[in-house]
Amino acid sequence: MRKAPFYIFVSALALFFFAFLIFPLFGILKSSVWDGEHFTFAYLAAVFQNQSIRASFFNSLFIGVAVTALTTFISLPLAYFFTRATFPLQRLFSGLVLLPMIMPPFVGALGMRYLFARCGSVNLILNSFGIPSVDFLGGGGLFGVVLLEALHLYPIMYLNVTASLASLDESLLEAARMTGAKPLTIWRKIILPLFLPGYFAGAILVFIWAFTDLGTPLIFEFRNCLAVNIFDRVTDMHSNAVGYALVLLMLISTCVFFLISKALSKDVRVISTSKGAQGTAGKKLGVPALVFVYAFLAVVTLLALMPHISVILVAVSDKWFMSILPETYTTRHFVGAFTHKLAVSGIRNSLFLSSAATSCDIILGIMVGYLLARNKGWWREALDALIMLPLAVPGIVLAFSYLSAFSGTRLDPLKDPTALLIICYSVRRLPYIVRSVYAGFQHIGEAMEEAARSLGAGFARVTKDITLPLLSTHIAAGAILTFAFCMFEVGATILLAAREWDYPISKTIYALNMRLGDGPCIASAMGVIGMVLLGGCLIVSGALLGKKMGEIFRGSSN
Amino acid sequence: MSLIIENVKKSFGRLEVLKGISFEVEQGEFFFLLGSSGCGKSTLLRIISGLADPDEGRIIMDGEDVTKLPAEKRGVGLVFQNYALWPHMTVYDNVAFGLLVKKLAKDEIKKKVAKVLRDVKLEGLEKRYPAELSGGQQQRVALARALVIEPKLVLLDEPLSNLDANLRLEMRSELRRIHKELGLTMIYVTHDQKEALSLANRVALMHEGKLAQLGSPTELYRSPATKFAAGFLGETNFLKGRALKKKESAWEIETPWGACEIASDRAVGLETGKALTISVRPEDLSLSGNEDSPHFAAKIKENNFLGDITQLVLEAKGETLLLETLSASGLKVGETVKVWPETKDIMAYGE
Repeated sequence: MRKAPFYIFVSALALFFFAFLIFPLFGILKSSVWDGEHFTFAYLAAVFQNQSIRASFFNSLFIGVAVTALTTFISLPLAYFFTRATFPLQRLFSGLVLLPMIMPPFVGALGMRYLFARCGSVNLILNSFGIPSVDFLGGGGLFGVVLLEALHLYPIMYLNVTASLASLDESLLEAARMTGAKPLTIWRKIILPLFLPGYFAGAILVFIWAFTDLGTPLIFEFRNCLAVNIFDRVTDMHSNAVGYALVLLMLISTCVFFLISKALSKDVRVISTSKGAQGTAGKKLGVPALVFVYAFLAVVTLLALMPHISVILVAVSDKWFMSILPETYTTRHFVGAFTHKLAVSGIRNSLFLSSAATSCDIILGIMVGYLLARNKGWWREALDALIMLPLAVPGIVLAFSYLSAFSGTRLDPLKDPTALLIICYSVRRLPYIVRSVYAGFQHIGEAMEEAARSLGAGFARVTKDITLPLLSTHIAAGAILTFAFCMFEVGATILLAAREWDYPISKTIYALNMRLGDGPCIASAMGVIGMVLLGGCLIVSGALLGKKMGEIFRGSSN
Repeated sequence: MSLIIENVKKSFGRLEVLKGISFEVEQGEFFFLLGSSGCGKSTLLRIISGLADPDEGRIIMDGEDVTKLPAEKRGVGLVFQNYALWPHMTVYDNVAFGLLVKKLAKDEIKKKVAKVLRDVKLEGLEKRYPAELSGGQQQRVALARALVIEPKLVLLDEPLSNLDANLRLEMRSELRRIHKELGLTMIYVTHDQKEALSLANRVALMHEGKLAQLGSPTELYRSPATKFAAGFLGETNFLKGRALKKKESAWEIETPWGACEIASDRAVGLETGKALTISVRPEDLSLSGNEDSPHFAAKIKENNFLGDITQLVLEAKGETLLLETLSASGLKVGETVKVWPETKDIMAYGE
């Protein structure tokens, strides 16, 4: 890239990030420790002294840790089966285990209440066998939140772990074996060091997601966690600074965890192996192992599909009260989802916002990806860190900071949240598309562009004829994922969209769910529509990216 | 086209990759940049192509300073080590690209592509995609793509390193033919000394970012200017010695086989009384000779039959040396033999 456009673009990018990431976040910091005249720790102290806030912090921490642990427990065996073994129906199952990604957990929560509540289907089945009811969603909904989030998030962990295991070429292990190393030593010295970076990269995404999720606790009415506490304080944010201190606490926590995981997932460059390497061809399993694998897969798949099934059931239920399955069925909720004023505007708003944010991200993503992949310099690391920063900034934190920074300005979300929602979505999803484009640039290699330049093609020609066509699959895959995630963004959406006609899908579902009567059923029907949409998006981008899907969901760049 | 490289320097961070390189390439020359990996030869090639900028120095093509001219304006053809064929384009589209950029008429493009594909013997494969070609065919497409724009200068970056041994031999003679037929100036980067010795008009041997020697393959092989050059090209024996006396056009030196005289153009950096290293090629040691000429006794440690020749590993005065001979039948390991060095061909380098 020539010097002048390069500096213009980098400056514009820096300005954008300053205005919509650094400046608002700095506002949070300032409001947490500045009372208008003095520097003060009073608000932060109030946060730590307040027992209920302390409890909510530890609850969120518990949710984060428990979900990470649970996803690890589910993903490790799965990844091992799929990379190191071959068995019948492997392809089918490898698709099935990714299904949870097509539904955000707060939508799943809509249906799971019907299945696991005290008088829900599962307890009714237990009762019919004379077993007393079990409080599945006990802890005021805490366990429900953990379960739902774990079931939704384990595919992200699985994709990371699988990518890590797949890069562990058999020849590396064979080489270790040839030195006479014992299995334990190979495990400790070769497998773990190569595997852990990928694991931590995935674990941090899962942890931050669970730690800061707002939608699921809201639906389960589990109010004693950090995200809901922040949500509750939005209304009096201009009169009470404790909200800022809470947001700061969340931000510091996620940043600390993010930095720890970054340190732990220091990139290990795996040099591609020579010809004749074994690759990671799987072993054929014996009968006992096969039984174990199928049993595990069956349990995981069943559990993972439970939220989907339950949401579909609620969406088609006419009457469902104190019975295992709905008593009568209907399609009118789907009609409602396409005709209800709120639902229609919700779908329209989401489509518009997500398309706009995705377009914005495509342009930014290609440029940033190019800068990162094709330039060297001290600023490269700084740019990478800046772009990846949104991974550590929860949606709810960013939205809160926007509310505080831009209220009363032209961008005031209370007047019209459109611009800020688009920006917020773009900032938050940019890391994913940058990752995808960057992987594309790495894949095609610089020589492809240089070859064209040596034949007389200028920058524009090279970009049009060589770079963009070769990058197209990566751009498309990243864009589709970005679009899908924007459609179901919850935290920022719930905070920023204040007026009913501005609601995107996720807030519409939340609002409908709060209404009596058909509300939850129409909300579920919208959830099902969303599920189909998200599923379609993921299938297409998965087909485009193939095995590189895992690279997009990594907590550190490679 | 003639090319002048003038004191080119380049660093990556603290690493000085090129430490001031200067040489000239004449019109129509097949010029080689030879050196081990990391010596800076590929960086120099990229600087000549315009894909990288030198920190200092100038590149002059046909009398014009092109140092600041971007790659796309230099009119130089470049063949990449991994070919860099665009996977989304057919053979025809890959080759035609440079002509499209030049906005040539369709008919003309067709004609030129057809001709160049004939030149590299790829007729009939126009519609194939790179993935549908063999390694050798991909190599030819890469070459055709660089040649079709009728460049004044063709740069080749280790173009044969991804091919197997037989194909490499075949492509070598192809390149020789194409160079001869088209009369192009070509600069070829390689670490393979056989490629350089067999194809080059002249070779620039590079070592640690500097030019170690510049000359014809014979000059480089027969009169290596430095100890590094002697060791890099072909096999040689390094033996210890001492400089005794400078004469008018010769040096008297002490060798394992006693004192002897060498021409002063075969003595590099000697100082009277100081230690030196003698380089003597395995084929310059012989098992037969005149009893009056200098010779020494050696013990056979290994006898390696290599088909056309036999290689003996010998031990003499605590040093191990190689000897190549056509007939060594009947010689046994452990036996002591007499060895005659061809003293007019040895080189001596001051320590």
